[in-house]
Amino acid sequence: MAFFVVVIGILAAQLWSMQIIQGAEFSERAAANRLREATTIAPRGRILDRHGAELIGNRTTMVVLAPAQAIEDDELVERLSTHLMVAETDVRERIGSVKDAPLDMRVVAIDVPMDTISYIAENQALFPDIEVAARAVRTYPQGAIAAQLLGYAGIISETDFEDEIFTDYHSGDIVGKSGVEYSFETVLQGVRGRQLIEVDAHGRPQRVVEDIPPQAGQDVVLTLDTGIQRATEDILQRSVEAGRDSGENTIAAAAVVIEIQTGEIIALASNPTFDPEQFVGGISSTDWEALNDEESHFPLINRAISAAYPPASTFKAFVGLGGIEYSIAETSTVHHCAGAWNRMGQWDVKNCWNRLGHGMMDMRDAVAHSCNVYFYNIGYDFDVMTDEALQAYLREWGYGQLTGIDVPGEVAGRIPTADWKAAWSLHNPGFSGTWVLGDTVNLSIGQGDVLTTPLQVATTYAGIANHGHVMRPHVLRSVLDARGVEVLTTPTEVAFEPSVSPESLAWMNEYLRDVVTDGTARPAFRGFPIPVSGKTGTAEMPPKDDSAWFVGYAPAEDPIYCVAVFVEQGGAGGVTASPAARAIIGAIFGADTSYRLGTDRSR
Amino acid sequence: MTSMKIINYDIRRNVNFPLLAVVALLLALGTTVIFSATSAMPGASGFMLRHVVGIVLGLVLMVGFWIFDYRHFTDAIIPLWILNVFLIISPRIPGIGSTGGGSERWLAIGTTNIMQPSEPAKLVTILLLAAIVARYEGEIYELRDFLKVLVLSLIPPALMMIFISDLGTALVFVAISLGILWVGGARLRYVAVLLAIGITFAFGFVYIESQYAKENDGDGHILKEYQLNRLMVFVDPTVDPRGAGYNLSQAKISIGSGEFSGKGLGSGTQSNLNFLPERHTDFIFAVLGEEAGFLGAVTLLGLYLALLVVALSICASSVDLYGSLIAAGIMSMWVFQIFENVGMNMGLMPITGIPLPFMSYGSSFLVTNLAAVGVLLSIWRQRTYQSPIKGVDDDGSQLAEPSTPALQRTQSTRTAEKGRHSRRSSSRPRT
Repeated sequence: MAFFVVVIGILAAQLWSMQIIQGAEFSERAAANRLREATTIAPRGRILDRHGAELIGNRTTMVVLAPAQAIEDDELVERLSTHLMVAETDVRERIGSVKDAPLDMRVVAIDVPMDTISYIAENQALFPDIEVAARAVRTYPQGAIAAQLLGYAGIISETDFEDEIFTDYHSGDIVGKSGVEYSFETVLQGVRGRQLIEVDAHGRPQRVVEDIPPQAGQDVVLTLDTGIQRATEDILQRSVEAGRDSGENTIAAAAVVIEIQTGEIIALASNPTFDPEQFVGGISSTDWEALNDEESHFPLINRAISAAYPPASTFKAFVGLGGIEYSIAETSTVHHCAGAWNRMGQWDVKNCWNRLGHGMMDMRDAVAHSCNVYFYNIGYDFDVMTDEALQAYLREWGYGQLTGIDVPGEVAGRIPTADWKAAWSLHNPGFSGTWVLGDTVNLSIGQGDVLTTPLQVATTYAGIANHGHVMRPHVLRSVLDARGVEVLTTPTEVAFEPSVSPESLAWMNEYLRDVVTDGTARPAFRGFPIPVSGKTGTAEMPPKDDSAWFVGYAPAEDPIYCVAVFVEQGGAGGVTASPAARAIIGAIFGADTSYRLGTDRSR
Repeated sequence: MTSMKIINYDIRRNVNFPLLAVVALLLALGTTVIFSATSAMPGASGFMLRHVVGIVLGLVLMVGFWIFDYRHFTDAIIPLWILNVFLIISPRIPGIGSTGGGSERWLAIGTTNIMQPSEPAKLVTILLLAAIVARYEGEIYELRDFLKVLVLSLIPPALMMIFISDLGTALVFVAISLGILWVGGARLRYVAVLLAIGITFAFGFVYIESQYAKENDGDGHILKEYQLNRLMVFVDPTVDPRGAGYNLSQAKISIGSGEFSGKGLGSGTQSNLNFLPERHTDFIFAVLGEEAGFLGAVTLLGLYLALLVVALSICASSVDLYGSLIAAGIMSMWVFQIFENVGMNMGLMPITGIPLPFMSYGSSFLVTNLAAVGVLLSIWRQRTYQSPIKGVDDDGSQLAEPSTPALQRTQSTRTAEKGRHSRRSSSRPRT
């Protein structure tokens, strides 16, 4: 009897120990046994244009993923190639992609048909470590448009994790890599859904225990106008082709259309461009190399904000305004242009682009006909009479500084000073580090070491048109929540408030109008119904061909939009840039959008 | 009216109601848990049908054994030997035997498995050994006698190992032998030495087998790889994480996660999602532990304790030594199987294919246990026969037998209850 009590007692004691004392622990193990957590990537917010047209959306697709070491398994590669109907070399290339972090699963194929997915999932022995997954990928309903501005999204990489905005992200997340996709990442990214799935001993799902649906990212409404953007891109392409046709080594172009009073970017284009569809599911090494190849002229670069060029004659408006502001010149100040300028001595004669000379010029004539000599004189006086006041004044407009546009990759450009030159020469032995009079003179016509972005040129001219208020350019109009209600709008902000009198602005407005009606841009705008004010420019970047500028705003009397066009190695401003600007303005106002290569070789 | 009273009285005297009650509760609990464990399996209704057939067949056999006077078995030692050997080796006899996977050994007609003969062999062994030991009338003092009985009692487990290599069942036979020898008057010293030798032999055997297995691709001379793994897992649960180690850890998770009140019948995630292997047979206790929790599992242990105590009282009340020895054998069989099975479910004992009485699914097993209950009832029934109260005798019953003297009954009782004391003092009264 006692023996039985002891036997049963031992068992009961063990039972007590397991169920009562360690019960909670075993319960956890039971839960871990049967419950699998699966997270579902939340669809990214869509990106819409100012009218609500979808620029970037989402679609779900089935993808096949492979680990990097799969490349060593020749049979597996061959099998993947056969079943996914992807060339073996492509399979190898995708698995071996150096763009992905070593431990990341590589996308071998996207848009894989369901029967292939099932086959792979059911034959794990044939496809060791190969995973299939549903992925929401980006879709581009408008095609490749504003590619550099909008940017692309991709699977988060190891280097991305170093970026503090990705601190709380999971590996496998789709994140913005560049452009708008990157800058509004925090609102575009949704919250991952979480599913607790009960599985049996074979890992087969039985039921969903808990299902927290993913929270889609918020939609972003941009200030872009799809129609104008598309027209702008087409026109840039035509201007590049036209530049080449005219015998120049034209390689690239950029344009910015900005709403003067708000700083809203209506269009922002950079040519050459790329198709963001290439990045869906991970870009192949070949495509990636092609996009980064010298021959391709780097289509990933957004030349409107990330590249800086000498502003050339477009600078003359600000140099003129600075001269007035610093009492170095007046609008009535007259200088004589003989085609050459020897104020710096016989050994340092500088020429006007018009070797024949413009003759007697006041500021109106000098701006309208873009007379270099007139502005050499102002620059000379600035250098002699002030301590880098010209540079200070140009910075007041925002040159040499970031405009603060809400997309990544903006560069500040450069307003050269004596300090800059001294520092620069340290890194460039063989070049003089001493600031000389000629440097200021060069600066006064926007040549030499000065660099500006097309965006800066656009915002500053918009500033002239906007009574001297340089608005902060931005592409974000608003953020929408799931119900489509605006939850965030971008405030209209003044970025720079240069010192300029209303009178001188009025004069300058008039002169810029004269550029188009009577001056260097006249041939390009002949017969154009929209009154435009603006300025041409021809940047000299030897040994390259000259690059063309046109910046202007319309309608002249009550300006709404400012357009800046830059054609890299497009020759003289009047030849490639002005016709492009004319066509863009035509597109904006629903007028003539034809592109006619200019013949005016003036600057 | 008088005759009715006689019948009522008779039934009360002849039937051990506590035993029936405990067995009924065990059957109810077992059926419930088997239903829960098999409900999610393919062919669930087939399991339940076979189980119910087993209960009915078992009850018929139980009544049969109750009515039959167990004492007749003492006259049938030779037929019992023949039957026993046949049952043990029958799975190896071409034509009627079938050896499926694992330790499943069947008696089959054609391709249909009829029963697992090792189960009834346990009961036959009890009846046989008890009859042999009973001849010594509680005196196995001489070493020669002890060895003789020992050799005879080791024949069934030895045959089991040689022909069937079913270690678990062989151990049940050994447990039965030990119980019968103990109560049958063998010197405690002999039993202790035997136990020590047995344990040493078992460890030595397993050690030699595992060494041999290491050099020979897993299988030992006699033990199969899976059997060795089960034993090794007991020592080191990480040995075979996909096989026996998996079974053990899943069983422990099942039981532990039942906590106090369980997850509810049919709601055990471990059992119903197939994490728990052999959940309706060897690991049925884990299902109970998971679904009915500590409350349910302790209820079962309580029922087992009640079963053993009732069996002990029957053992003590037996009219003769043979009845006591049979009861002792049955108790040994049960207590060993209960401890081994429940113990292995909780990681206290090595994993062997020993089922849990009245709980594990298996008709042969169930029928055998119910037959054993019938034998206990028979022992109980025979005890009263010669002492009807108020001189009323049972008339016309086929059970009528020469009455056993009251004195002998008392002595038998003492033999069973105070056997150890009596043996030590060597002053036990003789018949």
